[in-house]
Amino acid sequence: MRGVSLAQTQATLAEYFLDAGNDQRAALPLLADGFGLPRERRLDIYHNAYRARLHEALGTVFERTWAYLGDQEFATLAGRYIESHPSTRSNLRDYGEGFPALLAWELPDDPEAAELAWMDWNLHLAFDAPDVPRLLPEELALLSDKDWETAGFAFQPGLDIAVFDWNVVEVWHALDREAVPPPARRLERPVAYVFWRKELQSHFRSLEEAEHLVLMALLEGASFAQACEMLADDQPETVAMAGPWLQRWIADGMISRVVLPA
Amino acid sequence: MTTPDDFTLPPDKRVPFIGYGLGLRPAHYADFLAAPRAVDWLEIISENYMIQGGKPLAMLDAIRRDYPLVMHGVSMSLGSVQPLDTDHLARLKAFADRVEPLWISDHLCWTGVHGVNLHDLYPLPYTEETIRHVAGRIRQVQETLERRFVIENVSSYISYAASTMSEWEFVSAIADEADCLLLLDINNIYVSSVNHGFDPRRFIDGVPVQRVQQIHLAGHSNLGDFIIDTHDAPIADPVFDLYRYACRCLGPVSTMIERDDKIPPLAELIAELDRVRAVAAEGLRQFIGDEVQLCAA
Repeated sequence: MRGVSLAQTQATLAEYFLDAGNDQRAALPLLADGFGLPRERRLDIYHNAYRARLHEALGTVFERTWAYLGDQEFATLAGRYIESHPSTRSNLRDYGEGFPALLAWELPDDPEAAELAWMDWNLHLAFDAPDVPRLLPEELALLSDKDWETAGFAFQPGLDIAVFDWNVVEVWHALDREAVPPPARRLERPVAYVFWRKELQSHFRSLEEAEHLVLMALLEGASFAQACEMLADDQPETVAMAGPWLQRWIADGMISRVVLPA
Repeated sequence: MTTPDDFTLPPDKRVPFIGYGLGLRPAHYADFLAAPRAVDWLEIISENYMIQGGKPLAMLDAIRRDYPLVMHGVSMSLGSVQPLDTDHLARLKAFADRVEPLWISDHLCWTGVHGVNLHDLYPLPYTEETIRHVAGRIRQVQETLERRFVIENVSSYISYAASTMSEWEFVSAIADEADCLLLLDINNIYVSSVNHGFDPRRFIDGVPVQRVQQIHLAGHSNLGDFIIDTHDAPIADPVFDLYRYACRCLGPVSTMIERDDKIPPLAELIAELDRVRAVAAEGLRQFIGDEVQLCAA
């Protein structure tokens, strides 16, 4: 088809590649007919490759979710995500952002699958998070009593908290060992987990209810004094733990710096 | 490092020959950090390290102390009709300032349009319109990166009814108009030659020797009536034959193996790289210097 502009060629082909139904009618006339393989099969190669590439990208990030769901179920759900989410990101690593939400929507009777996907995604985000300096324990000694009245903390950029209703951490550990995961089980009460990168590896661990409360307050910008006051009001029996928690967050590399009001 | 003392090159704008390299892959980080390896240089996929932190960057910082690096991109979309992604270009420049690569390349293709990234390397129609369009964009890239850019021929499974010239005429015209350099992927030339029915040696004969900065070699999957460029297997014999021919025609060109899937132990790739050196030496013994036009005869 001579005389077709580059813009028209690319618009027609992009629409074809994205079409789940593989309707080739508009794209075929763009192709030269001639040597060997028919044009239809040539278009099929690209149509299939687009889906295979995005499926592979999802499988890399959601490795444990894939192992949990099995090849067939994962392929079906990845297929639904791919057909409904054309990528707008320049880096394929960022493609799966909406996949956990799709699982929550598609699998209402298996909510643990979406929680497992959130886990995979949080570990992925922590792995790729920006490098920032890490607060050293001795830097706390430089703070005056007056500083402590207002000092807050900036955390590592990849740090995030997720609250799980299901035993997905147990499932994750089993899949990590390539063992058969335990049956999905609702926890007696929801448990919060913090995800972050320590040195070069992603980590996660559970948070006690009071530690979760303090950490959330600090992440939202409260000073350490304000967070302790809140704890004194809410759970006075745990307030003595605030100091040890802070030391542990620093030792684990979760905090990047002290924040003092200007 | 191999030094091609036996050969003289015509005056050109290339970075001089740096020998035989590999693509740096995460599976081999520990090997490269543990001991010196018989690899002259490494190529990285730029986008895999254009993140703000973490393990890939830490490994790269450590490994780059010991190996010259070149940067190879997959998302510039030089042939797309949508405007160049200037944010991406600025980040690429910042990353290049950090890595100090010997050169930077990307593909002669389009990867998406209208804000959608299809994450594939689609061929372009070989027309005057495309040549003008792409050459203008390469000049824009070169101005931003403050260096001569290197463009790679892609493998292809379709050919366009609109094309008015051969792929090698198209590639050469863009290189001349943009005054850029070429990364010849010998496997891609072979794959496309089988899929479209042309003599792959005509491609080698048809490109301007003084612009060929780098060569890629890789494995492919032969599916009977067509070949897919999979990078998941050792280099096939016909690709080695074409590489030998390229060395004979082009003289010494920095060459590396691209392996992206089913990645074997590093020792296997280094053994394959030794075969690449041996095949190059065979071709280079017949290199005829400035009289390259004889090659086409």
